[in-house]
Amino acid sequence: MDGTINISNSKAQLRKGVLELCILAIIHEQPVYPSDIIKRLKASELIVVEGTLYPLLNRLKDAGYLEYNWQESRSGPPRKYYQITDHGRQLYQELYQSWKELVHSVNQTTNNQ
Amino acid sequence: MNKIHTINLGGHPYTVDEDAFEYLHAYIRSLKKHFKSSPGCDEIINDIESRLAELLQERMQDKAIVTLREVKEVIAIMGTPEEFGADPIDENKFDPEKPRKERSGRRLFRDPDDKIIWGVCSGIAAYFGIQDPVWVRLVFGLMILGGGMGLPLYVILRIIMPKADSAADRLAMRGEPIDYQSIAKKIQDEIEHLSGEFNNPMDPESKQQWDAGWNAAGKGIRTGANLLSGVFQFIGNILERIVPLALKIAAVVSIAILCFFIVSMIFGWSLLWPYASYLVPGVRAASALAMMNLFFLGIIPMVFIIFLFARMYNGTRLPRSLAAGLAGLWLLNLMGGILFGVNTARQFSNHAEINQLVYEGSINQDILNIELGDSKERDDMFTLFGEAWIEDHSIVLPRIPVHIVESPDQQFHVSQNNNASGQTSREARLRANNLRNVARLDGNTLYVNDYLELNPHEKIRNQHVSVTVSVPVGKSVKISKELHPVDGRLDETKNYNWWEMPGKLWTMTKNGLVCPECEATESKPIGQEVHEAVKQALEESGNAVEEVKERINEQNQN
Repeated sequence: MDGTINISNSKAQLRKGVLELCILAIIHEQPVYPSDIIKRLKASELIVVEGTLYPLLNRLKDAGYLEYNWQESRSGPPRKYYQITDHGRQLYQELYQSWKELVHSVNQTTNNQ
Repeated sequence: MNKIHTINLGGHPYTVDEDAFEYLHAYIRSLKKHFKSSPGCDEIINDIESRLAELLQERMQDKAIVTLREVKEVIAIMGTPEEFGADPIDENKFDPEKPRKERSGRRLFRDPDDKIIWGVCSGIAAYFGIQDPVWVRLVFGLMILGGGMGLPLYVILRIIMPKADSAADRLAMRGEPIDYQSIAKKIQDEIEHLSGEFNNPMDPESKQQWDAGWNAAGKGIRTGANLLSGVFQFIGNILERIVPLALKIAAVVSIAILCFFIVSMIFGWSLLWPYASYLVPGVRAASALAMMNLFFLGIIPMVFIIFLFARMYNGTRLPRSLAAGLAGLWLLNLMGGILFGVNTARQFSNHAEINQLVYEGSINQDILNIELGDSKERDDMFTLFGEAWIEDHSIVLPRIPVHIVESPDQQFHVSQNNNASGQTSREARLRANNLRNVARLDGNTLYVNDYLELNPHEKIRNQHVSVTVSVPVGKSVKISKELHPVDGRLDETKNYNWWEMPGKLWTMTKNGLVCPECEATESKPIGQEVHEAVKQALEESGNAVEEVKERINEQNQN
C-alpha cells in the first residue's frame, strides 16, 4: 500500500520538476495561450490535470521569466497570451543544458546496473 | 425541480443549477484556501476560473443549463482539490439523495468595485438592497461624528466582511452568521493572512534583509490576533451563559408587569365606566362600545407581547388563526376608536362664553361678605381625578373660582361666567346658557356654591363657571375661610399673597386690594426682638463691670 503511494508520489515529483522546463520550451518557440500549452503537455502526457499549470505559469511570470498581454478572443472575454523574456530564454538554455546532462548521467547510471 | 443561478465565470455568463453552483463554489473556495499563502493567489484563481469557463463552453454547445455533471467533468480536467494538494470537497454535501438545508439570503461582502475606503458601506447597501450606498456612508459618517462609535464598527466590519474579489464570490449567496465566534475566527484569519503577506516581500532580491523583520512583525501580530480572538471567545462564553438567564428573568418580569397592566386596565375600565356615557356622544350603548374599544386596543398588543416573550422563552407560538383574529379585532377596534374619538372631538369644536349678571347695585355698610353656599359630600370612590363625580345621573364639577376686580363705577357687580363647548356654536351657547346658577345674593352676603352640578344626563362638554365680583374703590369684601379658590387684584406695592385672602377684610383702592387688618398685626420678627434685648442687656452688664473695675482701682490707689 505504502509502496504504491510512494511510487505515484515520486512520479508526480519527477514530472513537476521537468514541467517548468517543458513550459519554457513551448513558450520559447512562439507566444502561446495557456490552452495551447495544455494541449501540448497533455499530448506528451506530462500533465494529468490542467489546474497545476496555472500556479507554475504564475510563478514563472512573477520571477520575470515570462510575460503576458491580453489578446481579444473570437468567443468570450480576452485571454492571456504568454511569451518568454530574455531572462527566461537564459533560464531555458541553462535548464535545458542541465537536463541533457542529467539525462546523460541517469542513462549511464541505469544502463550500468 | 432545482433552483438556478446566473453566474459570471471568467467573463462568460452561465446559467447553473443549484447543485452545480454549490459544487463549483465549494471547489473554488477549496482552491482559494490552498493558494492563499502563495503569491499571486488571486491571479491563479482568475486564470483557473477563465479556463473552467472555456472548458464549460466546449460542453455547453446546445445546452442551456450547467448541471452538476458538467461541473464535475470540467473539474476532473482541471484537477480536483486533492490533485492540487488542497482539502477535498465534501462529496456527502452534494449527494442528491440526501436532503439539504435550503440556504437563503445574500452574503455580506465588501464591494471592491464601488469603494471609498474599503467598500464596507457599499457592501452593506448591496446586502440590504439599498440602491445608493451614499445613505449607508451617511449613517457611518454621522456615527463617527456623533460619538465616534462608527469608527471601530467600520474597522470590525472591514475585518469580518470578506472582499468580493472573484466571480464566484460576487454571486455567492451564502451568508455566514455574524456572531462572536465568527468575528473571533475572522479576526484571526485576517491577521494571519496579513502576517502571511508580510512574510512574502515583493522584491525577491531584498528578501533576506526583510525576512527577519517581517517574521518578527508577523509573529507579533499573530500573538495579538490570538489574544484578541481569545478575548472575543471569552466574552462570547460569558454572554452565552448570561444572555439566556437574563432573557428568562426579563421574560418573567415582563410577563408579570404585563399581567399587572391587564388587571389594572380591567379595574380602571370598571372605574371609568360610569363616566364614559357622559363623554362619548350618543346613547349609552355607544358609550359601552367606545369603552370596549379602548379596552381591546390596550389589551391585544399586551397579549402579543406576552406571546412574543413566551416564544423567545420556550418557542411557544400563538396559533396563526388566533393571531390573525386578534390582529383583525385590534384593527376593528382601532377603527371604532378613531370613529368615536373623531365624533367626540367634533362635539368640542365650538366654544361659547356667556356672562350672567347676578347682582348690580350698592351693598349695605359697603362691605360684601362672600360665603360658601351649598357644599356637597364627595363620594371619593367615584371621583374622576378629583375634578368630577357623578351623583343622581349628573356630573358634579367642584371648585368654582371667584375673581375679585375693581368696579368701573361706584356700584358692586356680581356676574357668573358660563363656558361650554358644542358641535355647533348654537349648541355651545345653549349649553352655556343652561348651566345652573351657582351664586346668589342675600342681604349683604354673596353665597357661592363650591361645585357646579350639570343637568341630569348632560354630557361633559368642557363646561366650567366662574364668579366675578367687581368692588368699587373705597368699599370692601370679606371672604369666608372655606371659599376656594379665590383670587383678586392685590395691591402690588405690598407683599400680599392670594392665600392670605380668605377670612380677612379687603378694601379696594386705586392700586388694588389692601388689607388693613394684615398690616395691624404686622410686627418685627421674633428673632430680631430677642437679639436686641440680649444686646441691650449685655451692654448694661458690661457697663456695670467697668464701673466695678474703676471702683476697685480707685480703692487700690488710695
